[in-house]
Amino acid sequence: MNEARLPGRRPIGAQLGVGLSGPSLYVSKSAASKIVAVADDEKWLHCKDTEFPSTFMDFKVASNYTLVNDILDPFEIESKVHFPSISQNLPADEELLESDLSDDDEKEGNTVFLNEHSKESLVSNLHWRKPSPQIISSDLQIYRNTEEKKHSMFELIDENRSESLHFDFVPKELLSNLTRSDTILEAQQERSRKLNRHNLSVIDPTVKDLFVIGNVQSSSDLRHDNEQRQIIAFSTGHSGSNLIISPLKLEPSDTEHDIYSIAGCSSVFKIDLKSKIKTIKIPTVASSLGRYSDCIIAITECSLHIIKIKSIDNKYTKIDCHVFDPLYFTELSDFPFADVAFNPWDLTQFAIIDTKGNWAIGSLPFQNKNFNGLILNDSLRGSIFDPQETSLRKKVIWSSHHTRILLMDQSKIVEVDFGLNWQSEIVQAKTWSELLDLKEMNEYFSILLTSQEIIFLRNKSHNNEITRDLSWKHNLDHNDKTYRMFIQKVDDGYKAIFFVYITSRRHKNVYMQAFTLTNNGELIRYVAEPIIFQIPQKTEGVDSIQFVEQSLNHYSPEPNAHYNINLNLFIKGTNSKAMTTLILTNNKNYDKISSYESDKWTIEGHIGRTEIENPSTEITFFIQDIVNKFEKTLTLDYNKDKELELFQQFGYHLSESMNRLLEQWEDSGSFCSQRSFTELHDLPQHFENLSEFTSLLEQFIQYYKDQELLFTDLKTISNLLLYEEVDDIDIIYNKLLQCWGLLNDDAEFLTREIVKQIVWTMLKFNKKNKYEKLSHKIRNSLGQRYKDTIDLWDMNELDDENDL
Amino acid sequence: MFEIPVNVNSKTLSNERKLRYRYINQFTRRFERKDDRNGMITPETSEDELQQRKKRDWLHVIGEYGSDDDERSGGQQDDEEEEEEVIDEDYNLNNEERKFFKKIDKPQETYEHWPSHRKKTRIQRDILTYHRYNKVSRYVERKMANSLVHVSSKNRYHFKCKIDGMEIVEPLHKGATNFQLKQIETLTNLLYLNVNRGNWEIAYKIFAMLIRIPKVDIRSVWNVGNRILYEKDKLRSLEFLEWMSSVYSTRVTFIQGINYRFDPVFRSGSKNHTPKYTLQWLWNSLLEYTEQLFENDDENIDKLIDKIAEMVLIPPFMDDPEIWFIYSMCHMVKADFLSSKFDTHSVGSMRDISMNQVIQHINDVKRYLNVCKEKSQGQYESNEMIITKQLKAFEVRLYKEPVF
Amino acid sequence: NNSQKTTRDKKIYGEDAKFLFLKSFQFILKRQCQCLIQEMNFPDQFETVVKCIWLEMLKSFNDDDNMHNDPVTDTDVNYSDDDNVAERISRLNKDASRSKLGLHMTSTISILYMASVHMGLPVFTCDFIKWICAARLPYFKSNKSLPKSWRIKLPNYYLELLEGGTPPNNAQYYNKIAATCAKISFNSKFECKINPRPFILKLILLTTLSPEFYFHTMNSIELIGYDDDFELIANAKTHFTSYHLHPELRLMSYFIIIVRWVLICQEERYSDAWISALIEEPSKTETSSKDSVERQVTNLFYDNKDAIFDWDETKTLNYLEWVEKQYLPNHHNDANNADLSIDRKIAKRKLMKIFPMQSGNFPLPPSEHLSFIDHLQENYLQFKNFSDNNYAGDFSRSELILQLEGKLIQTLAMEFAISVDQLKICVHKMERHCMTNLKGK
Ligand SMILES: [Mg+2]
Repeated sequence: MNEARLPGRRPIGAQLGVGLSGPSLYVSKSAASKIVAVADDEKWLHCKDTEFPSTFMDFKVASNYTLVNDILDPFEIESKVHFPSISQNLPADEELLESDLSDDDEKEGNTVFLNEHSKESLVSNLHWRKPSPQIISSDLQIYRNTEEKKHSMFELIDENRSESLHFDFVPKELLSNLTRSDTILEAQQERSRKLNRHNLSVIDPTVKDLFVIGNVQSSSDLRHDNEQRQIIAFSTGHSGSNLIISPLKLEPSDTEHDIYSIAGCSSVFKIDLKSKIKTIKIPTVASSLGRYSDCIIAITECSLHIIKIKSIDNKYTKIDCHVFDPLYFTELSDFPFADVAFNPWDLTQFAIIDTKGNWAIGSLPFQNKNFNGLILNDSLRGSIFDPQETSLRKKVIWSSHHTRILLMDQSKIVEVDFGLNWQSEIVQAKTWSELLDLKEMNEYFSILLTSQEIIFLRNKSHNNEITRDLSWKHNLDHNDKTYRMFIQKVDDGYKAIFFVYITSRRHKNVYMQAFTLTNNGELIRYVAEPIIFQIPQKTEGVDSIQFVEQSLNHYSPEPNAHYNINLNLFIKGTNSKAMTTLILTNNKNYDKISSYESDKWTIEGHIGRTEIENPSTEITFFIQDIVNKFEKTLTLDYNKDKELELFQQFGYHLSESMNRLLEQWEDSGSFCSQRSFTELHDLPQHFENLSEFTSLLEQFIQYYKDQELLFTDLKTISNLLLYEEVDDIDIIYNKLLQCWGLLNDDAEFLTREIVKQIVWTMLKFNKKNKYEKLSHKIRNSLGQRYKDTIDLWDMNELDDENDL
Repeated sequence: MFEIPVNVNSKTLSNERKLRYRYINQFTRRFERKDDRNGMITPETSEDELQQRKKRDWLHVIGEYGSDDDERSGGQQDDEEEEEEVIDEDYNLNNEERKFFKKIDKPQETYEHWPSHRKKTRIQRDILTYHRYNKVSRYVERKMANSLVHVSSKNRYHFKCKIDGMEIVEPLHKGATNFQLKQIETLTNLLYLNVNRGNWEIAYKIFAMLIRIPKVDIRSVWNVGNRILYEKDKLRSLEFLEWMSSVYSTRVTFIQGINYRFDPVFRSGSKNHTPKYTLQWLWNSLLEYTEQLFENDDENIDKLIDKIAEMVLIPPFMDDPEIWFIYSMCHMVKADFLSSKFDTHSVGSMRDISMNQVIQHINDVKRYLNVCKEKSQGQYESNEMIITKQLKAFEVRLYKEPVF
Repeated sequence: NNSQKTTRDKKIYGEDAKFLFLKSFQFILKRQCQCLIQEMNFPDQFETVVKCIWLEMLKSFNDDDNMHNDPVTDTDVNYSDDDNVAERISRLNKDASRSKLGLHMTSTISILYMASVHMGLPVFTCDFIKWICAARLPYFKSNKSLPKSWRIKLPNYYLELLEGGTPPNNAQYYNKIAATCAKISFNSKFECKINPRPFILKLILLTTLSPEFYFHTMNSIELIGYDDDFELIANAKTHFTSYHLHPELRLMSYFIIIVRWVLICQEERYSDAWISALIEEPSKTETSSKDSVERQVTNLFYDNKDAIFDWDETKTLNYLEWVEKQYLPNHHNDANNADLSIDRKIAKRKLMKIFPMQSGNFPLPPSEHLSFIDHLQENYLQFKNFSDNNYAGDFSRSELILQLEGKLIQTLAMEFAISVDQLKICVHKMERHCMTNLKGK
């Protein structure tokens, strides 16, 4: 079948979005139906792929489970020699180490700020002289106090130096005195003062995937003709400097969807890279090479690490790796590395870019040599630094040719051909948008995420240039600069579906849009409106999403079922180290899981408490007292027969004390009291007939209303408490009983007592005109302008002035 | 989560821009001076001044910096005043922003500048050293110290993070808490959510309410309105797009010297930029009328052809290749329709007339396709091969022997 | 820009502006009173009580004036037309700082609350917060409702104050009440005690707890809180952090502590299933009451989760109904369009015709609301159903209790516009207070 590209103006291409369709091509049914791939009932070749059923994008979250727990270091790296930990060398009183200025109300966890930014400002404010910004000892950490957890990071390397600490320790008081002007600490103080009111969290845009899932094929696999293996690599530990590489296994399971697990503690490969890991990658290899990479790359705050997987045994129990010596950023310039990419056609070549835009081409050392380090080519380097650009966000990916790379900062993409010694600017974004992410999609396309659109860049057009082929306006808030883009590819033989996910660190909603691409790489179209789903996990935002290779299921007997698909997603949220998986499915047979399921209330009663201590004896006795008292009230008996008598007597007492009160009533000075029924008489405990009680009160109130008294209206009380105007206490009682009646056997009694108490304590009365007198008095003490002001209070005509 | 269709103005935001552009300008100037020994800052030429004056005049015409003219005349008395204050500030203090944008090409068709002819230069091999960076940034930070005194601590903190290349997670504007903005934000999020979920009834209701809030700028959400109506009331959606095209006209000139706060890409048109709602209107009309045509109703498509014939006489449509492409597609649809209806048995003048009609349309297709190519300077990709193939097939129909 | 200049020239400054602002403030306060009396069934006398409190406020301003009466007041100085803006602003700021009225829109609801406390009405801070957020009480954009002649004259600085901006949060409301009490020595002139009984009932209804906790809380307050009288506190400090001194928060903390202690000590009486039933989120919101819709709207401002992404169709429709009936008419009436040009008006009208509020092509189901009580009954019913089952989860009892406490804190913090951390500190401090009192006994 011959296929056509969509019409459209170069270099703009089709500009799509919700309610925005690009140009279409008319396709006459009889004349040309075989020329172009359009569905049977279409006369036009659209930007929308009409082959998919309208329900295709009805994805929902069907299940989720935790892959790796939120444990600091699930695979603690044992140090070779075991030394006593710091805490054992310390005097018993911990206070010595913990010198905390803030008071106990304002504790916010132990680690104060871990990112490089804060370290820098700290060091610069301490006026420690530094030859370059990153020569801050990589292990400088600020802790409010140190944890006693046994961990290699905290252990002393040399027994003889047991007096000193592994970390540079600066007392907190000194720090805060020295760094008064420091922004970070200022903000932190502000934070503690205002209790997280504008808790501004800062992220480093060069921190990307802290866990990756992908396929590797070691040279031993190639020799033995083994298939690729799925592995997961992630960072752990207090400082995030430990790298773990483990096989990712598909568990045999009878559920309809896949379940993955990672190998046990003993069969993973672990290494401490001595510095915080910023990103981990598995290189992609050109499909023409017919194999997978055998390397894992990690960028830390100060170096680039490449780990070559030598072999994974067939039972997935052991990974054998070779670790190249790290490449320190000082080899290129004085700025930390931001991104790295491997040449898809040459597995030994890589390109690296630092946070200011300096780049270089490097290579793995040749084997059989004594030298084990990574080498940067002295002549293949350059810079795309732009004085107008402040963001550290930098990306490098390989372009359409083995000597071409694409370098991106937040406002431009530059293509560099280091073979032919030229560079050219592909796009400049300094006006309405920022460039946020750039990913390789396949050999034909790269995808660019901007603050406005998802843009497909065709790698090879007719003149071998990169062109903008199609864009999708995502309508996401363009002020959010924390978006990241992830691409999942699902192949179905003659067409590939690309699911583009956009995540944010601001919220846990994921935006997902699907595109299809025909196998010859010609026609790219969108499938339907995008979807939004929420990560069923307690987290503020999403750090990254990873995928395993998947294809469409062709074997289901149901009609249209081959469009049914379960997408496996591996997700890490921003505020936990846990990695979870979830399954998105468009299969109707699955139930949607409630997003609340795993979003339980935090196990945390109040500050820092995660466990309830046994109640003290005082509390136990006290609660026993209270319960006894409560049970005693339950046993009170009514004497229905005597109720009438009781009411009569009560009414008599009530009016008696009222009359007395009226005689003595005197308003003292400026204090205006509101009289309460409780002043008059105690409420008798033993009565049941609330209607009778209501009418007693009514008569009483009616009588005294004539004596220039104002009373609280029952309707007001009921309206404010139960949102219904009721003037009978019995009805109030029945309304509440309607709710509580089913709870327990004593409900009637309890409800009645509560209603009685509440109504009785709420009934107030006062003399008419009392406040008028008072207000008059205050008015007269005011100056003229204030008098003029208050005199307007009673003028209603003001409203009319509005119309003038 | 989604972009709200409101121009959010606040002191914090305008301070943020002010600080950022001041820093960037100072940094760039200092950096480039070091770079190029005899390089001087070019003084403002008289032409620049002229531009400035022109710009000021335009402020009256288009409203503040291209912001909503609807809103300006909309009776939000004190909002307007609040805004005016901000604009004053923009004008007096934010010339750093204008200085920055002066040298930057402001595209209308796309959010970014995508050069059609890329210049290849030799690789820029000078690597930035810390020494040089540090020298410049220290200087600029000293220079900035004064400006930082008068802003809020939040602004200051935000600025320091920004120049260190960091991103702040929390939004700077108070949309999250302000009562009015909260409702608009909630409605907007619900709108997109329900469109994406295909709850068209709810989405419609939200859209109807949203556009009744005076602050809301329909030009930021017209596409969603179009999408909603298209689902159940196609004719109404055409009516809406026509309304957009007539109310937000293309009679304005896009001036490079003005800092438009809003992008013109999907939101507006100018004398050299066809608005996207007009293109959308024509496409949707053509698609809809094609259906009608094959139900033997050719009234609307003929009207559409007449309409486009009028449009291509004036800018920006006359220079827009896509308009010409649509024009040629109209004729192609007609050619297909007429040729498929062509009665090979007919004889005489009847036969000649209908045959001529088809051939006329086929020629029109070719002609306008050529104009399209011309106008785009060869940049319009139109699948000529497929079109030519189809046109041939239409022609063949005219001479095909009837099958008995 | 001429039009700009003319509107500016109409502005008044100095003392004149201050008094116009006081009048405007008073105008809004009176509107609010009338609304409460008419819509919420407040007693007629309420207005006079509010007026008395407002008079006390005026008196305090009056006394302030007399205290720092500096002879060079420039009330009579006219600002000449050619004053530049910056100069004017700086003068305006000077004016503002001299007078320091300390009035804010939260002052209106503080005065209303104090009047309610005085009269012993069963309304609490959470009610006022709900009413303003759900646009039941005139509050946001109040400057719009002022007489037009005032609006034109009033300087922007004051207009902004009356705009309302953000609903109070992080205990701002409590602090404003305390500051207002301090300003007029409220406690020595008015009734300032809170009646704990209706408040505890309110808490129980908000958290769907069973009624015996009313007695448990009341009894324990009698036993360990014998020294508490739940008076409003007066405090003029701006950064006041002893939140536990506010009587409502004090009562709330007692309530939370007692729930925890009773659950720990009474294992036989309250099963694990009983606790987990309280933790359980209401599964579906097929029904709603007017109150629940108002609370849903209010929570938009206080819920830190992206709550709307969890809204089901009922909740979405409830919100839309509220926007249509309560928000749009109150905040964006047609009067706003009055200044549009003819062309714009016609265009706008045409657009409204293309998108009528009700469209036959996009029909929506009619909304139905239960009464508050019927809705509450459903919540209790659900609680009952959950608690009758056996608990099947993995959490230990103490974990369950802590989860419940977490939920109580989160729910109540949201309702009373205080941050979770602040409420946790209150509970913590009150727990220490309780322990001391218990040990002393
Ligand atoms: Mg830096």
